Amino acid sequence: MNIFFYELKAARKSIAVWTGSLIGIALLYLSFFRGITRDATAWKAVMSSYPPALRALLGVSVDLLTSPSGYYAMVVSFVVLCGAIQAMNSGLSILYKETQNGTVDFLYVKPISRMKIISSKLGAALAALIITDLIYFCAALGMMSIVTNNGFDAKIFILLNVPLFFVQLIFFSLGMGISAFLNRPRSILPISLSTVFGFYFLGTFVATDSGRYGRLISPFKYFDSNYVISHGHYETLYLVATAILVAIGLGVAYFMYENKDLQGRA
Amino acid sequence: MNIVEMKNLTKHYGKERGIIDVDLAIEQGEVFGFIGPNGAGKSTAIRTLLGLIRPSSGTATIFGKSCIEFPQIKQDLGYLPSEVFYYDDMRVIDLLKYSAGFYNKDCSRRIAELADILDLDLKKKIDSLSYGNKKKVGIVQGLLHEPKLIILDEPTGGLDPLMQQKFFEIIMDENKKGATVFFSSHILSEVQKMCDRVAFIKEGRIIKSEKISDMQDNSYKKIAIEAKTTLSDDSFTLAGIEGLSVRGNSAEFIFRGNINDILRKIAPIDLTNLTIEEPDLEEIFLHYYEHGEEPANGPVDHEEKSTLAR
Repeated sequence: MNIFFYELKAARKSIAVWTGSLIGIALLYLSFFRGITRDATAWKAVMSSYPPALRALLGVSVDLLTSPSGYYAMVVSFVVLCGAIQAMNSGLSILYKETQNGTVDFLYVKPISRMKIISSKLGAALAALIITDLIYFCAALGMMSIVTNNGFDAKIFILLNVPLFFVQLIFFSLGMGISAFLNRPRSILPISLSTVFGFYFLGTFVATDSGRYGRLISPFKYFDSNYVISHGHYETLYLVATAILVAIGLGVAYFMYENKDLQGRA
Repeated sequence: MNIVEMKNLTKHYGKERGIIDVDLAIEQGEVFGFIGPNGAGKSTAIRTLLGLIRPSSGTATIFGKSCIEFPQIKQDLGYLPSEVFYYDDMRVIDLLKYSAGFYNKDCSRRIAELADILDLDLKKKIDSLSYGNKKKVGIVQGLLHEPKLIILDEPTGGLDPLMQQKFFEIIMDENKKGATVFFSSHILSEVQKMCDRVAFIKEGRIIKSEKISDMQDNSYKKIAIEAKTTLSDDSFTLAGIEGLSVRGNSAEFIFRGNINDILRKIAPIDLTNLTIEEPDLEEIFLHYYEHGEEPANGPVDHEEKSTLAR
């Protein structure tokens, strides 16, 4: 538990910054909601004139735009993008930072197995993501209550929020898996930004021409808001895909780190 | 049981050499030196022993067990790497407590004692420390749980001479209390002062292992002569002569063997001066690294393998 608590304590600042960012994004978009509902017809007309690809990029569905859930679905797509960057950074750095900072010589000569080190760090990083998401959820719930005067479907609201964690899990695992192949010190931010934005834009191309399996290419398209709003549940195929991607990422990370040569920084 | 044991330990990095067939055994209570130039494979051998690096073949154990399969065995291990890096945003005391948290004992008294001896401020943040002070953190961190095996990889870099002295005193005290010490260095005088036995590594292979006391006994002499006439190399054809340098009327070399043999060899020369000194380790072993091989027909070179793996 020593490592778990140390890591969680070390993540305090990062949790605060990312939670603040997620809440900030939601706050910014939700503050427009009342104005948009007031001029609903005009907004729908404007949005309809946008090319479908751009609408997909912005996460906008014209029909749902002026309903609370429909509008929040657009907001949450940006929140998920931001959360994915947080998760990918965390996944890339949680084990790799020890190599990067030369602290492998400290941690990995302690009387514990590598498996336990990896698991403790994994646990702490996931706890940090869950804390971020819970705080964000409470804040978003509060903001939605205010801007819609409690006029939103609570179940759908929850269903729209949970994918934040699912997508984070995917990018976290991906990051952890990739980090196992990094050897010499290098900056992780370009890797995480390019990967996350890469998948995000890939998702917008898929969306315009989306087949059921085409959407598998981008995790950002796994939890389609329109589907969630109209059906009240997720699509099984993509839940399975999420589980498989997470298992592969973490499996690679465990296997690689278990057998990796840990060099000092010098 | 040997406290440290490496058997045919080999590590390749892709096609690059790490270490080749390293055999080494350290007994309980010994201070064992591991000497070699930079890049010879000292750190690779140590990191493989610690389980940081996976061996290509062969085995490495401490207290009879592999660190990879039995990580708990490291409860009694203290390690000080050559370059120390810690979590910069932590205070020294928090890092030491974090470190202590991995061991099944209360280490607070020992932390305070060591910090006092080394004059280390426990309240400072790690990123505000000089390199020498970070090294002190490393020493305390490596010793706070009073380990039975202390592994030091070029430990003195960054420490001023006074601190080096204090550091060696601490290590020798631990040794008196029963700790076994495995100590790598490229500075021979350090090893000469500290160690009971020493192994020399070159290009990944151990080329020699010996007791310090044997190396410094009377069999090694540094001899310099000056003659009335010009000298030639031919005057010094005798097994055991190493590092011969002849310049005009003077000659210098290191001799290992029966002292009477060399005196008989010198006797016919008309001398103006003769000095016979105890060479230091540096002089004795310099030629191993220069020439790569042990002296041909050297009189005392046959037992090395057995001494090594004793």
